[in-house]
Amino acid sequence: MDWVTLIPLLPALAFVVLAPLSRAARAKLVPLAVAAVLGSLGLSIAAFLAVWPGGHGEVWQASVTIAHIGDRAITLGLALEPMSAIMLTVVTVVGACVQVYSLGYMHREDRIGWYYAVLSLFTAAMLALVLSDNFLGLFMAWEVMGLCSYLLIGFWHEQEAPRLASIKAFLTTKVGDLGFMLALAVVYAEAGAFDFATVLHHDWTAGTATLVALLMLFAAMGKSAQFPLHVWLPDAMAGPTPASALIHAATMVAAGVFLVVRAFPIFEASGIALTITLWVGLITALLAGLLAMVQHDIKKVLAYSTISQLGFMFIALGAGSSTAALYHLVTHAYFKSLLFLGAGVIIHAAHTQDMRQMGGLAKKLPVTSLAFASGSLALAGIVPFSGFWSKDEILAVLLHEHQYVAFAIALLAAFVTAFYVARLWFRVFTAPTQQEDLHEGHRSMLVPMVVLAVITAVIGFFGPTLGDFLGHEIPWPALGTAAISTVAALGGITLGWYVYGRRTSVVNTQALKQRFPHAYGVLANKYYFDLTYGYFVVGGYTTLARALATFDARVVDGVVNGVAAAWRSLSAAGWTFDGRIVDGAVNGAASAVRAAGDKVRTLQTGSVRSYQTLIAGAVVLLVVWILVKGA
Amino acid sequence: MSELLLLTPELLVLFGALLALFADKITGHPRAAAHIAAPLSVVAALVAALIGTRGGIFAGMLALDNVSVFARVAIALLLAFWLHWVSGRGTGGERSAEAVALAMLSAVGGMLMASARDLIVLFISLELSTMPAYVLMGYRRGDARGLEGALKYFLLSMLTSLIMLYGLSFAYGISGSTAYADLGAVDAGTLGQLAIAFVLVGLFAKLSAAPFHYWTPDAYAGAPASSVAYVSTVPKIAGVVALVQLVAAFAGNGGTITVVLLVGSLLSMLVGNLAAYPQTDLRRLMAYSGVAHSGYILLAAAAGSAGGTAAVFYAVAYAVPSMAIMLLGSEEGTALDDLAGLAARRPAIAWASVVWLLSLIGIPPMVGFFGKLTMFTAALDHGLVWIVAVAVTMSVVSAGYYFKVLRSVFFGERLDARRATRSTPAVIAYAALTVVTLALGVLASPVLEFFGLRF
Repeated sequence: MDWVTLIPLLPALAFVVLAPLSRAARAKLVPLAVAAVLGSLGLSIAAFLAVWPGGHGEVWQASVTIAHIGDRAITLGLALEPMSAIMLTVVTVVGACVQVYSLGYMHREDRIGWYYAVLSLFTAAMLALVLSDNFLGLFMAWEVMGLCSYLLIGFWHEQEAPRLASIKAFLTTKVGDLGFMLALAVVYAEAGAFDFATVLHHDWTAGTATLVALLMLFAAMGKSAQFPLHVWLPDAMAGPTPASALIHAATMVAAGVFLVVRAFPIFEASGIALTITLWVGLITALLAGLLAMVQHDIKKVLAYSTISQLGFMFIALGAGSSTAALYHLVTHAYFKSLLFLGAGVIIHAAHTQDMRQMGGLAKKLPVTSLAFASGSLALAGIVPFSGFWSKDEILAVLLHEHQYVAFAIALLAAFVTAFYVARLWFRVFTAPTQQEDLHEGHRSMLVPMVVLAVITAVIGFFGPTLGDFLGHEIPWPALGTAAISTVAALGGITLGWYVYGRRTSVVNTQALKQRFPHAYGVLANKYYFDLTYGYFVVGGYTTLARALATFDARVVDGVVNGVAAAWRSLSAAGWTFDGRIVDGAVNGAASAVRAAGDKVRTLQTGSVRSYQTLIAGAVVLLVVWILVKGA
Repeated sequence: MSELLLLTPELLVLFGALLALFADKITGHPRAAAHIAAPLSVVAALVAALIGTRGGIFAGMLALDNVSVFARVAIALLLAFWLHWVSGRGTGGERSAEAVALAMLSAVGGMLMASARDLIVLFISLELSTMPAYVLMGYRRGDARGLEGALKYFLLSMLTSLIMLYGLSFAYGISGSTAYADLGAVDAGTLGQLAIAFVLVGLFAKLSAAPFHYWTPDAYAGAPASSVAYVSTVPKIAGVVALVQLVAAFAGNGGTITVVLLVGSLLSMLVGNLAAYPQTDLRRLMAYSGVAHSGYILLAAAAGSAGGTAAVFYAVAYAVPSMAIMLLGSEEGTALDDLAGLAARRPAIAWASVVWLLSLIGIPPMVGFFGKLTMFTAALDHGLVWIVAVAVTMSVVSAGYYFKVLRSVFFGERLDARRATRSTPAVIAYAALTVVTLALGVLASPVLEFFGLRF
């Protein structure tokens, strides 16, 4: 079974071969990257069959020790069990589809070789992440994915927007990663290891569990673009569309959800962390859905939709069902990557991302529109497309847990989802044609979309099988919830049709904007998140850093003087020490600092004398401390 | 005589330094001596260091254990890279033979310091490693700012050296011996603690750890970037080894050492990471970044023998990319704006700089990640959870200013069209430093095994 190692290794090798080559040589070797991911796909299917019929436990495990810290060994390992087997197939299927698609989409790009190299590295990291049997390995893969995401968003780095977006994405997710790193520190301090077996079976007290869970939740919120750390994902759409499909829709952004699923026992031990997860999910699902309603850029609609759907996964997690979250993760990966690939064809054909300039594409792009329809119906939650089943499962879990408020919000979010899906569909495909010269995508782009469309159409019927495979139950939808969610979805679609779809209706966002100027302004400005961050966080940080860099010497002055004064009063009070020497030294240093202080305005003055005084002051403090502390 | 064989690497480097200085007087080919013969002797030293027999010399005044051998190899390797870079470019164009010789002499001091087991050897080798550094920092004779920086470095370094010497004399007074082995006798009494504190002050200053870091930004900002590339990296490795071994030797004190280390660590991390952000000169930025990295290292040094080994490893993990960045700064110009548009001009070098900077932030699979991982886990094993939390937070904050550098590299065009001087050896040096940054991260375990290092 050691061949499982090859699954992440093949794309990694493709990267290692491609990366150091020249641009021309890389471009020639692109088929190698595709072959590697197809190889991984084959092996993943084999791995899936090896786990079949699943139900429990790990089938294979291997690890290496990377370092010994004292008498503890730090290991990195891979393990194959039902959940990783499912994720392997998802990542490799979507990965292979995206790579094949990119052959057509990126073929005019002269840096296509670099694109494929990074895509391969990303695939390798994501596969390693899902196979990893410990939090450390998961974290390392997580960071490498972040790096690849940065490189791919900034792929067109000669343009301004991608460069800014790439840095924003890296730094925002890095803020989230801080949570992961701190969580790792606490986990190691508490459990003494990183591997899932030890950590998850550790006897967590509620307090520590809450701390770890919240830190991990924060990391997951960064990676999975949950409010308020979602700001990077819409900007990330500046990258190539197929990369968005793979990284910013199907796989990497789902890694946050995956982390919470992995660490779920800790969340359960905490309790309160689950409630917070639930509300993060609810807020995100609804607010991002609302934002998707006012975007004109087709990719931005999909980006906000992704954020919103990830919110649904967090809702499932918060309601206590990691299975439902994973289920939605799987279905979403297929249908959302399908939608992004479809958007890629549309953008290629229409030469714009602005939906206001599209229309009538259904006739011109028949295959794309059919595939896109499959994805759209899944996203809207219409039976029998995949999104219906998994979203229904989430709603059912909420009802089962008696979370009625949450149920209502989730339902509203589902309604909003259906609305913006309808808005997108009618605008792009059925509105009056604005362009004549439109062409269907190349075959290499259509085949992957058809594959994904078929999967999206049929995968819902395998829900209970998937549940058995995972060792949990995924029941068939109950008629009641199914009816409610279908009504919500149809309602959303109908409203969308009413506003955007009717032949007579030239109603557009412009009209809505005039009727509801305030609401529209808030949405169009994305609730002012970017502005707030730019102003407070970045501004605050800069101010703090500046302040420290030009730290006013008076502070140091004050400390030294204060200590001196304190010391004087202590020795005057008859302290048992022979105060005179120390006193003298302290007074001397203090007066020297004071004398220097007149000239010294800042800490880094450039004056040797003031530096010497500062050093002397520090030494005096040290001496005083040792003397006060005693032996 | 057989004992002297253990010192083959040091002797070879010393020989190379003398060659660089005097061979041209005999042969009349200054460049050949300084840029071919001297680097070759360093390569020979590197090979000898890699063979790395362990053992004690001079009745235990020097001892080569796994950590010392590792540090010695790292110093020789970085020296070789630096010399190779200089061979293509020269330092300031003139008198490059002197620069070569000075760096090599400093390296000899560093290599000796890494194996010192005696306070007197420690002090002499410390001075040997720093003295040439003063000259290197003030290398451009006509440049008043550089000379001022070098003078500052000299004066402040002297002050802290003397404080350290004072501490060493206390230690000798208490234990009656200068051997590390007897320093356990420096008990927890007040004088013993003062001795320890004073010694640490000296080492903090060498490592530019707060609050003894003041010389660093000024001295770096005045000096040629190529000198900074050397002085900010190679002597630091030796300093960390000395620190770690002294901390282990002073084992018998009542916790003073830990407190001093942790306070120094905390201050360095905060000051370094926060003050680096507003800097606009690469040298100043890297000076504060160095302060910050010393903070992480002090944290590990407070975490027992596992932490000590991790600290030494990290000193190397820091030195490699840091040297690369400063060398690049020397070629392209040290204002951050000078780097603007580097991605368009030299894409390969720009991507290499991504590797270096990400390693300094601590992103896997670069070596910086592995180094931080081992340091922080060792510290966690010692129960230092809160300060590790600060360190982790600060390493995320550091992404802010390292990305400022990357932003310059990938953004905009350089305003003045001055063509940066480039050379093939320099490119080879960048490639080598990049490979080491990556390889040491990916293949850390086999490398550690080779040197017999265990955390």
